[in-house]
Amino acid sequence: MKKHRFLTILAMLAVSIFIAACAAPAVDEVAVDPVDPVVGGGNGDDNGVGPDETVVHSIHPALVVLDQISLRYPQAVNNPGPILQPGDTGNIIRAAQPTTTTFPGIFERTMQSEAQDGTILDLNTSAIVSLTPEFTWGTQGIALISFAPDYTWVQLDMQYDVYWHDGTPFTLDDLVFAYEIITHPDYTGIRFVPAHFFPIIVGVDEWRDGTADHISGLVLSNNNRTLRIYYTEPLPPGAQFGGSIWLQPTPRHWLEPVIEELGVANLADHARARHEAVGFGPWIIDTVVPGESVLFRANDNYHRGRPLADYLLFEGVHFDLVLSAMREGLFDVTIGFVPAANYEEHVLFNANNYTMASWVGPGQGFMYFRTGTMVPDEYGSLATPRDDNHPIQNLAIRRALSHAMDQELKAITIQNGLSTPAGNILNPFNARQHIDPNVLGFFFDLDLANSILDEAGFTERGPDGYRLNLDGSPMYFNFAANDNSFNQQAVPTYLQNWSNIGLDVRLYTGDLIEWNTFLDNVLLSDNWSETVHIFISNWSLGFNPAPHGLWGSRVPFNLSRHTSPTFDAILDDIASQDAWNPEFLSDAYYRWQVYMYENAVAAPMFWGVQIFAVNHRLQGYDLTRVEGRINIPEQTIFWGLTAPVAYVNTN
Amino acid sequence: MEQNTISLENKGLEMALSTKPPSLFVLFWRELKHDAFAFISLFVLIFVIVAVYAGAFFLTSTRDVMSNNLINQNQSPQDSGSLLGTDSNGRYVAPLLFVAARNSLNISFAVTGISFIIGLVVGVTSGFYGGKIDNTIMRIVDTWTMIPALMFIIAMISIADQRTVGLFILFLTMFTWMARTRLVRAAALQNCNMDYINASKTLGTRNSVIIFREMLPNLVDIVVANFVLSLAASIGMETGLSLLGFGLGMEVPSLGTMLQAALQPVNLQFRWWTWAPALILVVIIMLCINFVGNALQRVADPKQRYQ
Amino acid sequence: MYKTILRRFLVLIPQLFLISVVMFVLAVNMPGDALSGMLDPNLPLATIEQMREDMGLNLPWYQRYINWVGGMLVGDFGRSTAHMQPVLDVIGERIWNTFSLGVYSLFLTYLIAIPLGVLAGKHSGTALDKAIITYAFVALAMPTLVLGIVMIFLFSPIGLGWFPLGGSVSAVVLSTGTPFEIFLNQLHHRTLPAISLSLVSTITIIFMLRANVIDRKASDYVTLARSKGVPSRTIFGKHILRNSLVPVASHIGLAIAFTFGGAVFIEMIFSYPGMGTLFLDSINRRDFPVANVIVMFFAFLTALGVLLSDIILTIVDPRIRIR
Repeated sequence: MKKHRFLTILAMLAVSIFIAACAAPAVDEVAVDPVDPVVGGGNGDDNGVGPDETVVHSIHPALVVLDQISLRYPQAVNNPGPILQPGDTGNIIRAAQPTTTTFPGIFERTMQSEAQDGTILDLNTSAIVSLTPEFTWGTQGIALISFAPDYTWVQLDMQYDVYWHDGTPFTLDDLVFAYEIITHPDYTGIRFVPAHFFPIIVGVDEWRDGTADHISGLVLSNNNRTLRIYYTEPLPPGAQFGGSIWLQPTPRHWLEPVIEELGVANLADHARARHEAVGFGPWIIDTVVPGESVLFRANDNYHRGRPLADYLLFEGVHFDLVLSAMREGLFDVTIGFVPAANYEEHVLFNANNYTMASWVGPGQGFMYFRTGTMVPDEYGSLATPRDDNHPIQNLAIRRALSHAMDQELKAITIQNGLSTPAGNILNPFNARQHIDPNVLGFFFDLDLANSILDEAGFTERGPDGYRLNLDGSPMYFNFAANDNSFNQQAVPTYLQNWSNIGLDVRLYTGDLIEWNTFLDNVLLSDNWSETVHIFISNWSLGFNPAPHGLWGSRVPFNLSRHTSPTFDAILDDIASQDAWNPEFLSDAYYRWQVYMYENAVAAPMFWGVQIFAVNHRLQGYDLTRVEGRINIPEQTIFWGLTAPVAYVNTN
Repeated sequence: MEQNTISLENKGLEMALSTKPPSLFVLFWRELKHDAFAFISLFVLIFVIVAVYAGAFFLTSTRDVMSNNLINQNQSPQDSGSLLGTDSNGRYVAPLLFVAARNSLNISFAVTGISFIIGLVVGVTSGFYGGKIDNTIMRIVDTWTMIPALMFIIAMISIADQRTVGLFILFLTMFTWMARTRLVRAAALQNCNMDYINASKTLGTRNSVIIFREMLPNLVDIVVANFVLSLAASIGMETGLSLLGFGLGMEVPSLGTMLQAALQPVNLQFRWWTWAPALILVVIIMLCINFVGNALQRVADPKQRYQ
Repeated sequence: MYKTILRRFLVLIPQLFLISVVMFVLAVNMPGDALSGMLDPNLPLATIEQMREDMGLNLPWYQRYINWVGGMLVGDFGRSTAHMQPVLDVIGERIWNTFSLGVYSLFLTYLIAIPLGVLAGKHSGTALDKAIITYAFVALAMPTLVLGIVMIFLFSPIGLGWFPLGGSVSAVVLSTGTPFEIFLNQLHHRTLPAISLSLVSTITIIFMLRANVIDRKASDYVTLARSKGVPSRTIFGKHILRNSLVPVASHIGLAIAFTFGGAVFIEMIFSYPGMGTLFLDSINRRDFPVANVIVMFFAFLTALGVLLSDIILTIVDPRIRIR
């Protein structure tokens, strides 16, 4: 019995080893030897993004690639057919928003903070001035905006008659009301910030102290159709971009009674700031299922025309289920992009009842090299170069690290070809006109990276194959990235890329970092400044491409903590009053791009497009940036439906 | 004649006194022989466990199973030349399965084992000494049971700076020891009221001797049965948490993390090899454990035993 | 007996207190806080710091705890930082969803489990019995999550389309339907999650019932009844069945606790806006007022469930009395 048992176990061991050996491939294909650098997949010449610097480009090569990607999915989708008229059955647009959370349901601009609420609010109400394709203030909105010659005041003139959803006429006094809420001392929202220029309004301090009963810097005309806002200092050039000056009004007649009853702090409690909210946009909130969906009905009195559909149903749907739902014809359109990771699904299933529209997205990630720390001083903290002589301060190291990243691979495999390696520190989303075609990004070139290091003197290697520091000591770099699905796939390859040029980069803590930990230690404080040298972080860019928000020497978001007199000077120039002059601004941006490339402060990672799914029964979906169609509400009034029921995938 | 009867009686007495009750193993074997499912399950289970550990040992000492190789991502078995293709990171699924299964089993064994040791110690103490000690201990157990386990685990994992395996085991153990304690205590209480314990106490035997030599062996059957069944529960918990993303970190594969692939429609429909092997393995392991565990339970409960 | 129940209730208070302290300390020590999510290059750090100060997030933890408990005693459960509403309002929106799902699921559980368990016990040893046991084991072996995913892909519009994709009710029906239509629609939305949730509970009950039936079948009084010539059906209905169901009834308390606790996973998969997803969201957004109250609520529910089980057991089985 015992002998049998033993033999059986031995036999099973043998069998299992046999299976394991068969199932796994040969050893050589997988291992990467850091001692002999492997030159991988070409040096990126295929894109036209090559190291050949004698060629002068008229369009940035990466922009060319990006445009080709966007061409795959048009910015405008047109499905012909007779359009359903108001009153026809089935005249309801069903929109899905890909998301993983529920929305809080605060439908009042002053108190809203979650992005999802913002998207819903966009359908219900809007800013009173429209945006141009460059995201500056335009001329087709409810009001026209004009600036003082010295930029110390701003004037708004209403040009249309507009009514709130309950019929009350809209006036600029409603905008004043919004200002009064936001600047109120009891305000608990997040909008009272310098970026909206609230603190520099004339009379705001007295209002906050309680010594004045209105804000003296807000001057209304007698008929309330003209408003001037006076500032104590000239506005910076950023004020010409959307989202800077606060232009979202709040209905005074609707919410002032609520404030009298509950106070400003608890404004968001009341139903009138939630499912009974009143706006003046194309869609009126009809029913809200808390956290899940909102049913809108068309506003017959919208000043730009009644929407073609009778109802709009807006629902939050999980990322992974959105495309399946589209295939089943459950939704007509996605408000909010389909994540790149789910794009494969679209390709593989090849449904025939919907198409994709795309546009260049506002996402931008950077690979930061921490060359400095924040040192507290009398005004707060100031970025200062490191004092520990770590090799990360060596320009050659940073350039080599940047050129060794094979972003193309990640763009194709992880982001499914919807992005391309970034060609420049600026992003075509908001700064296309400033991108200089000849300031090329950190293209993938292992030979170049190796030669940079060799020329800089990092030729000796230690026993483990990694390069040694100039003084002969071993060097290593700590790398931190937060835990999301992209990083899970990409980070190991970055580490491998760098090991291929002989640099020892290690994951700090051995693993990806949980978001809140990352936030606390990397972004909001300097806890890890001494120890971590390389980070990745992603931002969603705003309308104004000015860099001081992300790179200023006192800004915590300047993750590289980089500073130098030239650097600070360029940033100041872009934000200065001189920058109201377009030529001055262009020149400053040019200097900015060149500096960032030559000094390898941070490596921009990708430029990409965002995709939106559109069912064939939606007559049109136009993402081209034309004035009057920048925002979703402005678009939705033009969407009509060509069939009473959605098309279902018939594959 | 009389002599023969007496000697026969003596012999009978001798035999009766000298025959020990059948051991656990014998009983178990008997039970198995009559339950085909449990019988097969036992062998399958042993085979799987040995194969997993042997395979994982062999693999991790000879190659890097975890290296990312994005170019190779998502290749089917035909394309990649390997039995089970590659996953979205370009890793070969087959060797990964061994390592992942081993990790899952390790974690389950550890969690169940530790919570059992705690359960035994606390339960026996509580049941044997009774009275105030019992009351206090049970109050603590009650309070701890009231804590919503899942929520706390999620909250604590969100706190943790680093998601190490040790921490994960700690969290799971923290919420499973109570049930064991209750079980052991109930069995201990039952036994303590029995005559043989009282007899020993009257005789003046030391408490520790009573516990270890007399009571524990009688608890063994119940304990073993429950141990095996709770292995399955641990695997289920670990898998569930990993699936949700509250499990182990990036570098530690487990059956749960492999199952994450099933959450995406593309994988579910087009790339069965990324998740199906893990699912089948989980189901097989848990089924086998359950069949074997149930057989053990029948052994522990004389009423249900095969006679 | 009433004294014991009262005593149990009184003991509940310090127990809840202890749990709340633990949870609170846990929450306070988490990296990040309610304002972390608002990180935005447009928001200067000074503003965020000021908001932290205003919200009392910089106070030492025991201070915050005392404030919290004090508030609870006067009915003020705090304000949710993510929803900007009193916590009670936020939970109030969701509690009906979770509650209705739980009740529906329990109903389905017993609907499925009782017949199966009884059948397995009655015909124990036969193929039917084996089949039911195998089903039970397989259901046990599959993690709840996988089951949920399989259900989605089988029955939701992605598959057969019998049930909707997620959510608790359709906004269109809510707006235009009669109360009856709304009720039906809600039922429709809840069926898949309820089935997934109930599948695991059924197993315990099936096994328990089966074991009880087998036990009773072999017991003395049944043998007596048979020998008296009482027809099988009567024996089964009157003696075996009723006695077997008793322990099952006592299990209901635990079933309640389990159902509400296990709902977290299910709610996540089905995008069902109940307390489970609320909890997950509030952890992610570091909205501790809400998270703490939810944890307290579930702890209370669990305790109540256990107590309920014990009480029912005492009532129906005179052999057991609470000491």
